[in-house]
Amino acid sequence: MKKLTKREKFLLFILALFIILTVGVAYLIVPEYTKNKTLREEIDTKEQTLIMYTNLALNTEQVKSQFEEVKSQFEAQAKESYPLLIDEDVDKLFTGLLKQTNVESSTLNFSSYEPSDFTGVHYRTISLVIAAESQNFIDLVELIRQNPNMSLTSATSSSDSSHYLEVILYLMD
Amino acid sequence: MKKTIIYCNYDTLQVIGGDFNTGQIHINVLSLDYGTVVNGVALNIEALSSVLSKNKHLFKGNCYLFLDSSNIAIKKIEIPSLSKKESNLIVKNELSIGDNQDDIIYDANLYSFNDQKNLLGCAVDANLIKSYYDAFAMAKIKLHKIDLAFNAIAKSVHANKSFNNRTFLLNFISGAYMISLFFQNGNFAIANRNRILSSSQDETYCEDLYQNLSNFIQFNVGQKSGVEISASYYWGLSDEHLKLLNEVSMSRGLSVDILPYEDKYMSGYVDGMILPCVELIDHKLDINLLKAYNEYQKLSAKKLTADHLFIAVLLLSIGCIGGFTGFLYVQNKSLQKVSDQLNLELSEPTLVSQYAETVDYTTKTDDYTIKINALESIWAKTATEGVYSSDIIETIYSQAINGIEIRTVVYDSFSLKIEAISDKEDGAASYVEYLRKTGLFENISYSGWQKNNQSYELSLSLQIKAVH
Repeated sequence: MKKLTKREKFLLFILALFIILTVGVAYLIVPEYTKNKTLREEIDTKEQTLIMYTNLALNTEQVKSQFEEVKSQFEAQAKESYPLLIDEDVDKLFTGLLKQTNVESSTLNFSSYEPSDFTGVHYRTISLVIAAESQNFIDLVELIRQNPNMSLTSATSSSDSSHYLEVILYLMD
Repeated sequence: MKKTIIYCNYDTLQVIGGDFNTGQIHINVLSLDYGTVVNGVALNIEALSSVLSKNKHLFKGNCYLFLDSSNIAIKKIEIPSLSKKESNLIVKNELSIGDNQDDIIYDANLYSFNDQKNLLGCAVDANLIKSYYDAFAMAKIKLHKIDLAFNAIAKSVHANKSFNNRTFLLNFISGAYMISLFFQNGNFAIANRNRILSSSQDETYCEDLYQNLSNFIQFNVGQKSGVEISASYYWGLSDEHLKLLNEVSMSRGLSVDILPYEDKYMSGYVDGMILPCVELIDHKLDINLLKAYNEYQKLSAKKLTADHLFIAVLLLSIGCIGGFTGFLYVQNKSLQKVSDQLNLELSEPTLVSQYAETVDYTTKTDDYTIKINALESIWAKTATEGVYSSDIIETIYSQAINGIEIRTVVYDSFSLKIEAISDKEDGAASYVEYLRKTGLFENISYSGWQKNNQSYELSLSLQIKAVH
């Protein structure tokens, strides 16, 4: 067999080195390195999750008590608010207000639900045309004003004791 | 001093040992398995070594190995006075063969003959020497020198005064093999090897021998040396064949004496021997292939350094890749265990249920907090917007006693528009002044009154102050 020259040996060496490095890096190092990186990321994530789990688990009682506190606060507040009243309940609410202030109404209209700017809160617009003496009208306006779930947005009073009112009623989900 | 001569060509290993000064020598012919040595090349080192080991007692004193192979190129050149190094360069130039010159060992015997410097050079494949070197090394027999059979015979003849200035042929026959050395005026000129095609029983046997003799005669004529071959000596040829060859020679008109070669140590010892007991003549500028081989090995070791470097780099690369991969593999195994352990901890039922419960509470708390915030925002909004109060209404309507009659009041998000009539021409201004003084309003816009019958109509717009 013909002996290789120095140049041939050198080229063969470069080729062998290239093959070894290419194959070694592509088929051995890269897969293992990728696996290593993935495992490290997995472990980091799991450790964070475990810390979170442990911290949350340790605070269960605290969170529960906080929940109870918030819940009772909400329930207390909920008593002073209205749920999503259906149409006849809205009618009953405002008719009750009119009766309470001895005001006669010729018209009672209300819109359907519309979402408000606040999460979980809807509103309905109620229009009233009433005939009321001055003091009765004032009583009605004051009753609406003192209700935290109502807002008198518009009112027109004429000299013949007729009044037009537009009220927004806020309702909780 | 005891010495041992070793010669090996085909199937037999010839060992001649003893004290050559006293003539007390012993001659042994050791049989080799077929194919162990072919044409002077040791093909089966283990077999040769085995034979050597078994007969180690025969190798005493300095051991001289004589090589004889058609694979060894030899050439005699007449030269001016040269150093050994210069002579080797000449040999290399003269005997360069093939591409693979790195593995060829060159050596030469520099000697003077009749005041003329002569060089008998040879070129030998290093592997040929290596095969013997390894075989003897395996048998733990130390070689003193490796020489060529031709060179040894030539030196022997040169030292023999009876051959001085004679032109003759020296033939050594063993079975079907024959080597011939041609001497011109007593100086070695050329040598060759022949295979005798005819059997010694054949009538053509002597014809073959004559043909060989004839070739050398023609060569001598071609050389134009001016001297004729006077004799042809034969070793290993029977008297009968000598006689027949002489007859053939004479019948062809040749005046060449056909004579037997006499050896002072080996008289009558012919069978199986191709190399007679040669004079062991050593001198400083002689062929010593053992020394040349050792120098070749040193040079090869240096040449191998580059190859070793390449191989080392490749092995290092493989090692680095393997090592790093192994490191990653082991680390991945360890990380996998950690990951599995974390999975176990994360799936621990108590922890999971506690976590789920806490998350549930947190979610609900967040929901309630959102609702509370929304409700408080609504209440804050209605409180801010609820400016149209009994105070405002009573203030607007309170001036009836001053002759102001309110016709219409339109409220729309902080803005008020009032239309009224006054029974006096200065009533309107008084009314506006009154409203301004209450401090409940701002941005009061009043543009005057208009008389209609006996009353004065006025219209104004204003805004209820936010902080009320």
